[in-house]
Amino acid sequence: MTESEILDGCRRGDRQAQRELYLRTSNRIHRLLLRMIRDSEAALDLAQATYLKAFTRIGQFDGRSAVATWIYRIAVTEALQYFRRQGRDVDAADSLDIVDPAPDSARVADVRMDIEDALGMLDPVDRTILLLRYDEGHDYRAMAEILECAEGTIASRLHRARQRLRLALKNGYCLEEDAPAAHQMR
Amino acid sequence: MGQMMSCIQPQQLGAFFDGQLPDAQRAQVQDHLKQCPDCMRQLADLSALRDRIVEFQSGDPPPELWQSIEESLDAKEHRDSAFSVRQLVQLTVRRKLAAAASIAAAIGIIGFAAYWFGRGEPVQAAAIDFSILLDSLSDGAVEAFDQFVAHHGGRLIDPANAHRQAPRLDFEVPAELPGGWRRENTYQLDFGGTPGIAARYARADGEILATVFHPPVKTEDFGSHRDFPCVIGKHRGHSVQVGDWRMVHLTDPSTCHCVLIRDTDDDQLAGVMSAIAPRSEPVQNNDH
Repeated sequence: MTESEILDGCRRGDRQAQRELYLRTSNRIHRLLLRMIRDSEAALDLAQATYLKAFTRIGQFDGRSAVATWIYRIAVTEALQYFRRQGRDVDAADSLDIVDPAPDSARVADVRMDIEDALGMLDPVDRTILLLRYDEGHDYRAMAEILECAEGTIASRLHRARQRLRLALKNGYCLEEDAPAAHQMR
Repeated sequence: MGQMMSCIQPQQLGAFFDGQLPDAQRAQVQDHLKQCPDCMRQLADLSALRDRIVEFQSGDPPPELWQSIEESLDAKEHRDSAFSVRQLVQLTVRRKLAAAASIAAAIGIIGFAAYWFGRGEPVQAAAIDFSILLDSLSDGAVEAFDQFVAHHGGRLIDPANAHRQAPRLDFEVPAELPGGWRRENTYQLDFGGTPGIAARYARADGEILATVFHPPVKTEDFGSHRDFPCVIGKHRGHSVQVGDWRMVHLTDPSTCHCVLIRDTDDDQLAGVMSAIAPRSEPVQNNDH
């Protein structure tokens, strides 16, 4: 089935076309949600919500991006709304100071941090940006489409997210601003 | 050997690493890297960071995920608007098996109730589907608003009767709004059996503005659009931006006041909000 055939089928509500679209995208969507949310059951719920929304609103897909990008956008929106429902600040990066403690600081953690824990310490938007770029391989244009922001802001947001991730990996659990958030994610 | 350019800014090096630099800048960075071990180290660091991000191992999603999606789609087809999409999602994968029997019974009861009480009338979605409005804006704001009104069973009413049609809501539909807006039509809407009110305003230049009032307990569905917290005048709320259009929602305990407007600043919007929600007190959160 070509993408065009799949889309036509989905617009008619054809179950085989819907399943084909699901099969082609669900591994990546599920993986992204799992890493964003860090809760396997909630990630499944959000994946289900994503596809229900995609299939029931496929008539509103305007074809300006790839259909997979559009589904990513729905998934990311669902995930960020999930965080908001949990009372999480999804985009706190602007208000956080990045502090790189001296190597001999007492705040430096003894344990080198696991990558998932380090990602979990970032605010959800920073985490999403890193995952969309490096785990999902989206270019800046697609990322801007998924995150509904200007393409020009992606490079700076990525830079900041990389800085924060690097610090988290280097310093363990000493990013005090984010530490409580990391525990809430568990 | 020519003079070496100064070291590459980290953000630019990141864009180079991501393959997102224009050709000319890319060539410059490549030239610099050939002679700068520090920047090469930074590049290697980026590569190592990426490698750590992708090292995560995940399996395929369980087969139950597709089964749940398919069942929800089947259920939706069978009784189209008894559930909203958001309610369908409540049929979660993890609860799927345990809930199957009770959901089937619920669908039967709801279907019977819809038939008995609706007597052939379409049952309106419980959620407020703003995605219909937001997704259709590119086709024309008037058409998009009309679609939204039609989806929620809109009925043209005399604005003088608006409070009687939705007695639990606290709002105003003044004949004019700050900014040169004049009221055109007023509608009673049906949000899953609960009344709401909408009004359409127009300006001399042909621009339109829409207001929607609904109970705050109703779920809003923005489709694939994201809502962000905002502060308008003395109120906190949230807004959705679609191109030049902005839909702002300010909620108090009795009413969610929504305004759809294009190309406006917060001062003008604050004036509109004060006119349509004159008794609304500031709230400390933006929950619905």
